[in-house]
Amino acid sequence: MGTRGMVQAARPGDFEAFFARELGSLEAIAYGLTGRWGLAEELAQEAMLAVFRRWDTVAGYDDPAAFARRVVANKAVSAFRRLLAEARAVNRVRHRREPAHAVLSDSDDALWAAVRRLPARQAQAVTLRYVADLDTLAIAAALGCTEGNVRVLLHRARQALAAALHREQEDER
Amino acid sequence: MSLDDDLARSGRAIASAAAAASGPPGAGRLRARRRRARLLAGTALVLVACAGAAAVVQARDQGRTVIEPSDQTPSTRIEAGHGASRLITAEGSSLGSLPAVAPDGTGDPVVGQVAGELLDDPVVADRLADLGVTGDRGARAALLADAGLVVETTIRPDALDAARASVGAGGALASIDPSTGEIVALAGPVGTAEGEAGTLYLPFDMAAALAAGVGPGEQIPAPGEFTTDRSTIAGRPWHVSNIDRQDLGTVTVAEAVAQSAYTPWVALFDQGRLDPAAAVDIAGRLGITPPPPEQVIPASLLGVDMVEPVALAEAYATFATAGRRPDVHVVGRILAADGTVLYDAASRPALPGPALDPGIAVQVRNALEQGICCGSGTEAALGGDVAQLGQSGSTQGDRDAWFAGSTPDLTTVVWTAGGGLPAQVWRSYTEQAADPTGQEFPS
Repeated sequence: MGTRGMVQAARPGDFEAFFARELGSLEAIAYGLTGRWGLAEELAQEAMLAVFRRWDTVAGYDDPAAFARRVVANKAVSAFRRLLAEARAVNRVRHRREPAHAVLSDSDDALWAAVRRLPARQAQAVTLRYVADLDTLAIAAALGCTEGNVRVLLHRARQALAAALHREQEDER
Repeated sequence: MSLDDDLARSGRAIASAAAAASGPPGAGRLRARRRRARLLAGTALVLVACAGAAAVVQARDQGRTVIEPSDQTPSTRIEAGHGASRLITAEGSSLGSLPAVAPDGTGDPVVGQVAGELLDDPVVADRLADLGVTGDRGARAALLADAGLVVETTIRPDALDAARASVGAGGALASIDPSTGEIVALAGPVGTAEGEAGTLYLPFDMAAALAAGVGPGEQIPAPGEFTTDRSTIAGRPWHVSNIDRQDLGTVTVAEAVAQSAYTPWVALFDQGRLDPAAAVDIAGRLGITPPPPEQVIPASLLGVDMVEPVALAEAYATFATAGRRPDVHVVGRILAADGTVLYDAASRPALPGPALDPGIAVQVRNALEQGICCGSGTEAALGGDVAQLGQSGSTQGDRDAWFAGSTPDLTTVVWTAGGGLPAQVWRSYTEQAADPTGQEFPS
C-alpha cells in the first residue's frame, strides 16, 4: 500500500487536503535537489509520512507546509537516506508518473546539476526559492533558520553558481 | 538572461512538471500564490516610516518588527540625538536597548555580545566607521546608543527561551548555527564564563596527532598514570593521570577522545610525535585564542589554558561542518530609524577555505559521535534519530564543567562551575531548540 492509501485509511480530512495540496510542491523541491523523478516522488511521500505521524502537532503550526518542506529538503540532501529511497524507488519505477516530456533543456539541466553540487543548505535555499517560489520568510521557516541566514545562503549560492558556470552574477537584491 | 532569471524560469518548469504529475494542471503556481497569501493573512501591515526607497514595516499581531528594505546603499551618516537604539531578535521581538557604555562582560549576555560586535568586529566596525562612528570604544558606544538604530540580531527567540530555561541560575550557554555562524542563543554570564577547557581540548590534540602522522587505528598506551621527563614541573618529571587513574590499556586517538583519557596524549608527547604548539595552532585556526608562544607548555595538550563558551562553540562547529569554520556573528542587520539598511551580515566576506583538513575533521567528528553513544557524553544523548556529537569537559579538581556538542543545525557549549551538570543542560536545551527532522552532518 502506498503512502497515500495509508494516510487516507488512517486519518481522512485535514491531512488529506494538505496531502493533495502540497505533494506536488514537495516533489518539485525533491527533484530540484536530486534531479530524479522517481526518487523525488519517494522522498516527498516519505516527508508526507513524517508529517502524518506528527499531524496533531503540525496541523497547529502557522504554516504546516514549512515543516513538510524542511523534512523533504533534509531528506533530499542526505546521501544515506537518498540511497535508501533510491533503492525503493527502483522497485516502484513501473508505477511512477513520469512527466510526458523532458522537464529541462540541457543547459538548464546543467544549471540544476550545479545547484545540487552546492553545499547542502545553499542548495536547499535555492530550490525553495526558485522551485517552490518561496520568499525569504517562508524559506527561513522551512529551513529552521533566520531570514538573514537565508539571504546569506542565497547570496553565496548565486556567487558559487556564477563561478561554477562562468557567468556574470547579478544578485536578485 | 541573468543567472537569476534562468533559475526562476527553470525552477518554474520543475514546479509545473511536478504539478502536472501530481495534481491539476497549473495548480503549482496557484498554490504558490495561495501560500504567499496565507503568509500575509492575519498580519496587519502598517507602514511606519518611508524615506526614499526604504520602509520599516511593523506586523502588529505579535509585537514583531519586520524590516523590508529596498535600498542598501545609504548616503546617511549615523548621528546622535535620534533616541535609543533597539535590539530585536531574528523574528522581530524586542531584546532591549543598546547600552551607552562599552560592554564589560557583565549584564545581559545578548546585549553584551551585540555591543561587543558593533565595537570590535573588524567588518562591522569598519562599516560603522564609514558612516561616522569613530573614536575610542566609549565614544562609539555612546554614539551608537543614541542614534535611533534598529539592530536586527540572529537570536532565535525560541532558542533563547529554551537556553534560559535550561541553564537556570548556575551556568552559561552559547549556541550557534554551525553552517552560518549565526549565534542563536546566549544565556548566563557568557562574557565572563571563562574556564579551563580540560578534556574539551582533546579533539584538538587528536587533529594535531592525525596531522602529524599518527595513524587513526594505531594503538597508543593509555595507562592510569604516566610520567615523562621530556617536561618538568618545578624540577620534577611531568606526571599525569587519567580521571580516577583509570587504566585503559591501549587506545586509538579516537577512543582517547571518546573516553576523555589524558595519558595517551602525554605518551605521544613523550615519543616526540605530538607537539603542544601544533595542537595550540589547530585550536587557534578553529577559533580558540592561543596563548602567547612563550606560554605554550606541554600541559596545553590537556586544556589548561582558559577558553570561553562562544569560542568553543565556534571550534566545535568546525568539526560539525567537516572542517569549514563558521563566521560567528550575532548582528544580522543594522538599520537607520527610517529603515535604511546600514549593514547586512549577508555581505560579510566568506572565510577562506577549510580551517581543518576535511578528512581529519570528519575523523574527529566520528570520535565525538562515539563519545555520545558510548563514551563520556552519554548523558547528553538525545532520543530519536537526530545526529549528534559531543564531549564532556572536566578539569582537574572539577573547577569547571563543560559540555560541548552539536547536532547538524546547532552547536552548543554549556559551562557550569562547582558541580553543575552541563550534559543535562545541553540535552534539555537541544531537545527544545534543535531541528527534530533528522538532518545528518555534512560530508
